[in-house]
Amino acid sequence: MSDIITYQYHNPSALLKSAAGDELFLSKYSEVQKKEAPCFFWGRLEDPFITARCLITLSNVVQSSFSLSPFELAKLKDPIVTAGHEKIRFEGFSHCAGVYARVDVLPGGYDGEFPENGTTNVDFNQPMISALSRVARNEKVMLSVGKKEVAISKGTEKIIERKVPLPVKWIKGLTSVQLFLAEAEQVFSFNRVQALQLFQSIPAGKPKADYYLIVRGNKPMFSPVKANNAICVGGVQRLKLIEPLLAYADELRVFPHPQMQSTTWQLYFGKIRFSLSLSRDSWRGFSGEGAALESLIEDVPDTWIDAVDKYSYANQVFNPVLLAAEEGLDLQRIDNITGRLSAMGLLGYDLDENHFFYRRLPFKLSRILSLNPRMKDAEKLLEENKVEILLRNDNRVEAKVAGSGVHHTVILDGEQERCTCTWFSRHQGERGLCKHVLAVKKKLAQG
Amino acid sequence: MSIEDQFAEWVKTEQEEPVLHWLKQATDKERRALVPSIKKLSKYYNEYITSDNRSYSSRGTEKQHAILHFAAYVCFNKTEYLKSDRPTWIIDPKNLNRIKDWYHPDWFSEMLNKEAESEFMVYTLTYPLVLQLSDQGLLQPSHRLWARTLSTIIFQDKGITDKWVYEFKPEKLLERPETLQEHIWYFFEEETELHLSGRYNHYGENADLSKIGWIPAFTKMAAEGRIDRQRLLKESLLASNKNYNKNLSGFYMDLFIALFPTEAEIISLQPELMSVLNSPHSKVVNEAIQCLKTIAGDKHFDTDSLLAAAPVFLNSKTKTTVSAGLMLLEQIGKKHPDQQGMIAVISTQALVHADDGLQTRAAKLISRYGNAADPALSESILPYQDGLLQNSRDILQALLTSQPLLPAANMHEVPEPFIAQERVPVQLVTTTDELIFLAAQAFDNNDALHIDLFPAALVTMQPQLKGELLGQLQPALQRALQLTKNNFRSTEGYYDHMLGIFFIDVCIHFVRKYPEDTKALTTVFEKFDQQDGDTVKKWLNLDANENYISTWTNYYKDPYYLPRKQWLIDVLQKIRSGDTLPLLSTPTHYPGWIDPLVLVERILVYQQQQQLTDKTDLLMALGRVDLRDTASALQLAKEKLWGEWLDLMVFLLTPGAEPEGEITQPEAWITAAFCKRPLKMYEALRPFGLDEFYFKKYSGQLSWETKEEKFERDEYKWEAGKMKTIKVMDSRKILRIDFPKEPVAKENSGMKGLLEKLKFKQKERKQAQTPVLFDYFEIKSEFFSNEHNDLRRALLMAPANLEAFLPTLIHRCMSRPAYIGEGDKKMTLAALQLLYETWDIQGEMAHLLLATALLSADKTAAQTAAEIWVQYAITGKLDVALTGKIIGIHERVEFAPLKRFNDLAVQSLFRISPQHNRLLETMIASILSELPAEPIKHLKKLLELYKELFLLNQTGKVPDAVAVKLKEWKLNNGLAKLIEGVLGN
Repeated sequence: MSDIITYQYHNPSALLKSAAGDELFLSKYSEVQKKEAPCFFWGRLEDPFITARCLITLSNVVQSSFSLSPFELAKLKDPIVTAGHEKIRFEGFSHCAGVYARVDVLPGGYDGEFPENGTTNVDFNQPMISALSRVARNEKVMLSVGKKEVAISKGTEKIIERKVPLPVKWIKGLTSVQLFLAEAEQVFSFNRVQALQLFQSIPAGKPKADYYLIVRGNKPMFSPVKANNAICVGGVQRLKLIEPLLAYADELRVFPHPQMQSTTWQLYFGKIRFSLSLSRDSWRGFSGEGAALESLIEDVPDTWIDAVDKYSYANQVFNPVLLAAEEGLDLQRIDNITGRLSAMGLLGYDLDENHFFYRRLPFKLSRILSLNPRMKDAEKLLEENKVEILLRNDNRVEAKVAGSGVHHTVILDGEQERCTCTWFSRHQGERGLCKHVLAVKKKLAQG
Repeated sequence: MSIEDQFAEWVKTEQEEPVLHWLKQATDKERRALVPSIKKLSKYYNEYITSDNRSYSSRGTEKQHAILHFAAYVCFNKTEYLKSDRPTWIIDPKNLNRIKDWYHPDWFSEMLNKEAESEFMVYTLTYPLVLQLSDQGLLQPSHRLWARTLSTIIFQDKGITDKWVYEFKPEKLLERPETLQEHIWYFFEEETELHLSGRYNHYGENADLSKIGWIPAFTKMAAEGRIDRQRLLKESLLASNKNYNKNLSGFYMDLFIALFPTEAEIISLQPELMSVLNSPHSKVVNEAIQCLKTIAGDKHFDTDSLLAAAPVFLNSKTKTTVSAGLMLLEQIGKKHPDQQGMIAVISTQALVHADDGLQTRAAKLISRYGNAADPALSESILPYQDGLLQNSRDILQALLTSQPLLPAANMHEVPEPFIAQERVPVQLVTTTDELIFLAAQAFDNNDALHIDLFPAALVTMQPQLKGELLGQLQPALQRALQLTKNNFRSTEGYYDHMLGIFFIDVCIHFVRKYPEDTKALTTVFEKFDQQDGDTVKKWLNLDANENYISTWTNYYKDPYYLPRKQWLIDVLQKIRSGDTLPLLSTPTHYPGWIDPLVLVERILVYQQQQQLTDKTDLLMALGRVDLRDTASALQLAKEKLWGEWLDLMVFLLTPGAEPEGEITQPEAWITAAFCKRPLKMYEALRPFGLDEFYFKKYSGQLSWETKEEKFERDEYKWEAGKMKTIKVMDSRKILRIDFPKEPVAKENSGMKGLLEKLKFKQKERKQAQTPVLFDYFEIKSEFFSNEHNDLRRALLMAPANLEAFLPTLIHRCMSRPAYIGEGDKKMTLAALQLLYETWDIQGEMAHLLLATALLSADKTAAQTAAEIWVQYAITGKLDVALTGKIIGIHERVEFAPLKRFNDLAVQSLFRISPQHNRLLETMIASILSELPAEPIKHLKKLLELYKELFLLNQTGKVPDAVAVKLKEWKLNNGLAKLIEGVLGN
């Protein structure tokens, strides 16, 4: 498959000025669009000032990079929008795939209609972003995701094509970050003043050390020393991306991953939410974390995927049990499906409502599934017959896997999985399973 | 002759014309057929060769390369050409002009436009060339290509006669009308390096640089009416807020200001200016606020937009931005009385800053414009009420809640403890599974104690280490051998390397002992055997009595690595001799302590079996004993131990005990003496060489000073065509530790002298025979590489007496106001981190490290020091007065800007709890007492904080030493009022 993706936008996105009020027109493109859906959303934004600022911040996230050279920045990655089920969600990733951002416009945040529902790339160009920064408090702004009527800009239609290398890290990050979100729990809620105080304690520059969120009295702050139960944030300077929004937010909630492998910072502005998720460290993208690998071990029949695709629409709550009941699927294997669907780019996660929602990434499934090199390596080990199971009983499996020049020992003992390879030794399972453990598990699954 | 052969011949004989002729007339098919030959020949001629083994150059001549480049350009397809060795070669008029009339690939434009996207664009791609190609219809330039090539056009090389000197030629912009009509505007669309363009050129001795550059060029064009001024103003404002980098954004704002926009122009550009207020760059925001100030009184001023944007600038981290923003709001309030209420409410946001100046300004504005009866105003002040400083509290008194919340009421008297109070036990390795997986990660430095736990497990688990289990150590051996190639990861240090070598020695022992079970290990060894010419250096070729670990050293031969090396040699010997008695020094709880009861139990085993302990192992064990609770250990020792072991343990574990009984292991007694607190000189140990010199050395309690000293340095000057080195005197601020010299025997004559010498020799011999760990605590490295990953492990050899290591660390890493290298910073951080975890009653050296770190330029180091202060000041184990005194001594010569401390204190030390506030006041009083009569820079802020604490703590009376200083400083106009505020109380 080509590693170049061509975005084709029929018009640039723009903030169109008119006497009746402005219209924020977002041009969309999806390579998996089943039919020509003219418009996903059309309506009035209830708080255009805040929405505009959130979208600017999202654009800043998408343009930021915390680990790559400036040359890499030339690659364009547009945010995606999911509209449907009375919500509009904008998602994006930094270039380094270590920062994930989402703007949720909830019911009450708009007054409009969803002619179709779905997920699409949207063109975020600089003139539009500049125009957004000029949206004032009292302005009336309409939003359209895709064209409501073809006539709007008929005279000026101009196809914009951008060929960019397939943003592999970005797509992988989008799929695996949802699993991190699903495990995260809210620990803190801060009011605006506390949030501002907290952000004032972010050190200048790019500190390499981890920082810990602690609360003294009523005042939250970041400290470089490890503290009991404190939330650990690597690459804390990345948080500065949402600093311009703090002054307007009502509340900041912090959701760390139980093993501190990621943190999510959610700002609330009435019916609009902005969430920012940070990976464990600035040099670690969500893309390489391998969180989804476990759920890819067992193959899920295509009929399941079809079933999800058939019955779901954008932003709809995903309920695996219900799906199993309706489709007569094997309940025992249902746990796997959430992870797998998420890894395939079919699910997102809503922290406030604590559920997965359906949204199909606007990329071909075959592209997405081909992005798990560790799984591919594990399959290769099996093909080459390099996995030997030495012992297998109820609680314990011992295996020998041929590595490069040495034989690795893999032991699965209850919940604990261990391997003698370098990857496992360095990360101790924090960054997903190594290819050797995956290969052993896959062999066991195959029976 | 085939065309391939013919082509090879043409290249060989450097015949360019026949090649060009052939390329011109060849069909596409013929050209494609030549591709493999071109690739092959290119590879051949590009190879680097040497004739004298000193200089290297590619095999081909310039002409041969040119022929190959022409051929590649014509015959290759786009992908092949762009991947070829130098595709930009063709983007040069002298090459392109020879070929463009008869060959022009359809990807030509794409290639040039892509070049404009690259970080370093080829210098031959110039604006005239782009114009020429565009005129000829050969190129459709992208906006970015226009912008990047145009950016250098106004700086012209003066020519051959005066090489490297440039001229400023803005008139170049007038040569073609489309330059000013169209191309110049692409600067405002594309992110370029316009702000740097021409900046590094030399324009001659007398050039006025303020009149050279793009801003003068733009202003000139605008003044002469050659460029649309209104558009220029608008575009420069928009470009200043386009998410460009800080400097480029600032450049566009400078351009806007340099055009001197009139009030009418600013009014028409209000929407753009308002949007600039959201910029992340403070300079741009400040300028925008200044511009808006000039029109604040105008009736067309867009008050609503400004008030909507105000929260962002009022919360800015840049003080000048907040201050300018408040002034602007004040001005607006004057002109628009109807908005005053709203302005007061919005201005409350500036109260978030814990800065007296800003808070006072905001408070005055709020009380002036706000309506005390407005519930919205009180409500908006409420969240800030806890953080109000005394001045603003006084000003806003009427608006605060009727029962003012005293800060004391809102703070915990003692904050929750953040460090683990409970001992976290170390999991010792007891199963073979654990051993295999520990071996696999032993050299990763995942845990600073792996260097203890892994050898300890190898010792105690020797009986199980045979058969298949040995084969499972294969991955660990492979990693150890890989480490010998010095492939360090960022988290690894020299200790990992050392441990790897030790493990190699252990594996060699296993290979010899169990040849049948260790074939897997032998295979790995053989894979790493090194071929050097005809000889092969085999890992397994080692005499039975030798080992690799003894030869281990690091580049600078730092002594502090040696005890661990000796320890590993001893452990290896233990394994070789089949001794499975547990090591004494294995920690039992984190970060690296040994439970005294466990130590007594371990010693008991040795005593019962009449085995000798390894010396380094014993010394490390003593340095790690956690003396917080010794009762049960002491009881066990008294019940079971006997002889010197009993005496030693009683001395170590009994607070206040003196050495008693026969001393045959003086190094152990001396080590124990320095691990006990409070530190004291034990006369009973004097006969064993422990005199004042060694007391100072082992306790780390050395004298020090901070001073400004003169020194000579080299300066390089270009004179008469030659570089000359000149010696110049300079001064520097430095922290000097007084390392005492080793005592030397006095040259007395006669019998007395002989006796003195003999006595000294005896002592010297004793020292040489029985060095203690502290003798090795010295850093010799001139430059650090991975040492910071080792420091924690080095310090954990004797956590009970960390201060022995600190003088050398402070001397090497903290003697200058700024860290010399990243390594110095990381070393300091590692030490601070461990001090945070282990701080107990400490002497002056630990306080010196702490106080100096509180002034550190590195925020993480300063913040970590602040955390130590917060955590331990209230326990009484940290001497706040001493810390303050040290900072004061540093500040006498302004070793580091006092601002660093001021900012840190407000951010991290102030208002933690009432108790902390009192301690902070004491510390600041100690600082003030040390300062000179002439006020130093940033003293005012420190005095503001002192005053705030003085009032908050209701201290009532200033200490005498501080009062003296305050009276001196009162003579200074800028401080008089502030000091009255303190002394007046």
